[in-house]
Amino acid sequence: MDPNRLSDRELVARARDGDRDAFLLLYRRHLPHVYRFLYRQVGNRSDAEDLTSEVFLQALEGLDGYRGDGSFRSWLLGIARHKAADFWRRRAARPELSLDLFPPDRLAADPDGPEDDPAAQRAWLEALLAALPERYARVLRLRFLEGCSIRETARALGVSEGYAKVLQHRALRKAAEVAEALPVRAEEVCEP
Amino acid sequence: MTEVREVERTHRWVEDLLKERPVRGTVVATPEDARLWALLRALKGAARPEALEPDPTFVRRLEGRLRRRWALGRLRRHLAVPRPLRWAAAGLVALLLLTWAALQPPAAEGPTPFVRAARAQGVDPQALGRQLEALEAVRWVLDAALPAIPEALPGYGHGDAAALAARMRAALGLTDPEPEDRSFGWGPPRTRWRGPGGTWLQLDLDRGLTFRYRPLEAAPAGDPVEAARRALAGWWPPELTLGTPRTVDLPADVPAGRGLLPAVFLDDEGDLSRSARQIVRFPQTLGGIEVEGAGILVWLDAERRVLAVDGRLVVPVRRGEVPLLKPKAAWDRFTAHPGDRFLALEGRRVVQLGQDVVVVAQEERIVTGEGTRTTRNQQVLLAPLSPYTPGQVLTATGRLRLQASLRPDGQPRRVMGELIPDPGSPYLRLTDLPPESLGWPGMRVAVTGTVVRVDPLTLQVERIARLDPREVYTLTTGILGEDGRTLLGDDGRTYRLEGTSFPPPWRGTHLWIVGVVREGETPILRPLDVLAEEVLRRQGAPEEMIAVLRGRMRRAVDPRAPYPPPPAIDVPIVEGTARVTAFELVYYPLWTQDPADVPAISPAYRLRGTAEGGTFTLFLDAAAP
Repeated sequence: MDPNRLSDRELVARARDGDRDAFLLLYRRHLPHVYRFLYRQVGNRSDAEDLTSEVFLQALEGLDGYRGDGSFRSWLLGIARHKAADFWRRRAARPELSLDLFPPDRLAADPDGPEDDPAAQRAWLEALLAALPERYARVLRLRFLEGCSIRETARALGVSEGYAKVLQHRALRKAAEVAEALPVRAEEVCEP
Repeated sequence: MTEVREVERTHRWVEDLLKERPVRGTVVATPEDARLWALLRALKGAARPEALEPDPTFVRRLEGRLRRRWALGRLRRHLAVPRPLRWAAAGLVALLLLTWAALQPPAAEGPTPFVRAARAQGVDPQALGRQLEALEAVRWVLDAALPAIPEALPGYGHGDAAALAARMRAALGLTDPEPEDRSFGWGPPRTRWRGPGGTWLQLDLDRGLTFRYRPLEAAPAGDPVEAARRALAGWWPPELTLGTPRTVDLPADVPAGRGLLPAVFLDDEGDLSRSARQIVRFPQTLGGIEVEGAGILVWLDAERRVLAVDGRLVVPVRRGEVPLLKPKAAWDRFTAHPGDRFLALEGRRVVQLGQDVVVVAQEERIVTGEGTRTTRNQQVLLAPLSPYTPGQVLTATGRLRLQASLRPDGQPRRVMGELIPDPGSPYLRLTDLPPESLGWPGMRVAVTGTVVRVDPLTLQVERIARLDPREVYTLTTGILGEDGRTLLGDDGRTYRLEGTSFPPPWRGTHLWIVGVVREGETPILRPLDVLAEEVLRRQGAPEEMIAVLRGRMRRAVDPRAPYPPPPAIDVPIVEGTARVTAFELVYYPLWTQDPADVPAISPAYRLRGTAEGGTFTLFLDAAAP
C-alpha cells in the first residue's frame, strides 16, 4: 500500500514499531503547518527554523507519549506552543511578567484553522486596512504590502522621513486597537 | 516613554521584522508592546505569505537530523537498560576526555599563577655558580645546564584580523553578516557570518577570528594528515604559520555521554561527537612556539572524510624588541610610563549584565621565552532581552563597585562604576559618577539617573547617596576564627564576617581583608578582597608574588599609595648542601594599558631543590649586568 495514503495514526503506529520512513512521512506532512505556526509566533525565518527543529526532535524522542486522544497535528502544535512560550519566556526580560503578554497571542493564527489559508489572511489584512483612517492605511500598505523603505514611504506620502515614522507608529497603534474588534481571531481557535 | 522614543522603537521593530532579523533585540515588556508586536507579525504574515513557507534547504537539513537522531535514539534505547552498559558508556566518555587532554599542547613545567617558564638549554652551570658563590656556607650541587638568556624578546600585539576574515569569507562563501554582537559589555564588537551546512565565521575586531567550516562532501583520503591538509588548501592564510599536526583517534561510540563532553566536541547539532573518529590539530605558531588558544581542528570520520574544520586564529603583529632589564631598571621604566599602569598577574572577571545574563571573561597574559602572547576567552551563558529603554529614569539600590585607574600624579584617569543590586534592583553600569562617590567602594548606595544604554544596562548618574553612614571602606587584618565567620583583628576588636564563610584551610591563619566595616557593638566586616599569606605559602607561592598582592591590597584602600614594589629577586637563607633539582628561566612582565607599548620585562632564574631542612625555591637575577 502506498504509505502516503496511510493515516497519521497508522504512520505513528509504524514509527513506534521502528519504521523510520513512517516518521519522516509524518514530518513531511506536518512540517509546513508547524513552521507557519512558529513563524507567526516569532516573525522571522531563523528563529522559526530553530523552533521547528526543536519541535520535531522532541516529537521523535517522545513519540511514545502521543496517546492518540487528538490529531497528530494537534499534538505537534501543542509541542510547538510550548516551544514558542519557552522562547518568549527565555527572552522575557522580566520573568514575573505574565506569559499572557507573549505569544501565543490574540492574533497568532492556528494552522488548523482558516487562517492557514493565505487568501483568508489577505482578506483579514484588507478588512483591517479598510477600518483604518486613509492615511494610516496607506502608510501600512506602502510598508507591508509594497515593501517600501521608510524613505520611499515618506516620498510617496509627501512628508519627511521623521513624520513618516510617526505616521507608521500611530497607524500600527490604531491597527492594534482595530484588530481587537475584527472577527476570526486567534483566541477563538488557539488555546493560550 | 515619550512618543518620540516609541516612534523610533516601533520603526526598529518594523525594520527588524521586514528584514528577517532575529528577535533578540526586541523588548516586549507591556501588554501594549505585546499587542503591537503580535500585530506586526500578523501583518507581515498576511502581506507576505511566501515568507510562511519553509526554506527547502532547511527542510532537507532537518530531515537529515531526524534520520540521524532516529538511529541514535534506537541505540540509546538499546543502551538504556543494563547498568553495566551505562558504565561502559561512562568509560568511553572518560576515554574521550583523556583523549582531548592528550590533544592539548604540553604545558611548560613549573608555571606559577602569573608566569610561564620557558626551558632552554646550553648555559654552563658556572654561569649560575658565579652568583651562588656569594652565598657562603652553602655547597651547591647542579646536575644540568642552565637555560640560556636571550638579549631581548620579540614583542607582539594583536593585529587587525579584518583582511584575513574577508579572504576567508570569500573562500567559504559567507555573505550575510549578522548584527554586531555587543553582549560582551566592554569587549570589542563582534560580527558573525553564517553559511550553509553550519559554516560560520566570527570576527573579533581586534582579537582575531573564530570559525567553523563544514565541507561535508569532501572526498576520503588515506592519511588523516593528508586529508586535513587537503581541507585547508585554498583558503588557509599563508601569512600565518601552523605547527606540526597531531592526530588523535576518537572512540567509536559515546552516545550516552554527550552531556559530559567538553563543548569543543559538540557542534550545534551534536553531530561531530557521534560521527568523528579522528581529529587532526594544527597549532598556530609564532616564532616556532605554539600560540595559546589558537589553531585549527580538522574532524574526520571513519573513512577519513573531512566533517568539519574549526578553530581560532590570531594575527600577531610585531611591536619591536622587548629589552630584558634588571629588576630596578624595569621598575623605573614601568613607573615612568605616563599612562595607566598595572602589574598583570592574572585577570579574571565575572560580570553580570541584567538579571539573567552572565558573562564570564577570562584574560591571561603569558610571557614565554620567545615572545609575548595575549589570549582572551569569553563565553556568554545566557542573554535574554532587556526591559529597559534609553531615556528611562531609574532608581536602584545596591552596592557600589568601583574600578579606577590613575594618572602618575594620582588623579583619576578613568573610573568604571557598577551597582551590584539589592533584590528588586537591576545590575547597572554607572557613568558620570560624582567625585565624592569615588570614596564609597563596596558601600550600599541609592542611585538615580537616566538609562543611556540597555546592553549592558548603563545609567548616567544624576544622584547618588549612601544608604548607611556607619559604613567604612578599609583594610582590616587579623586572625580568622575557627568558625570561619569571625576575625580577631590586630586592633583587638572582634569582627563578624558578613556574606561569606571561609574554608577550613584558612581558619586560624592571618588574613588581610579589604572590605566595608559597619560599625556597631559588634563591627560587621563585609570582605571584598582577601589575602591569606600563609595559605599561599603552603601552596608554594613565591614571596614576591605575595608582596605584589599585599601592595594591591594597600592600593585598594589608598589609591594614591605607591604601586606595589617590583618583584623582589632575592636569595633566601639556605644552609648546608643545596641540591638544585629543577631550574627555569622565568620572566616578570610589567604592563601598561597601551597595547602598543612595550612592556618592561625582568628575567630571573627560578631554582627549586632540596636542602637541609626541606625544599626551597629561590630566584636569581638573570639580566645581564
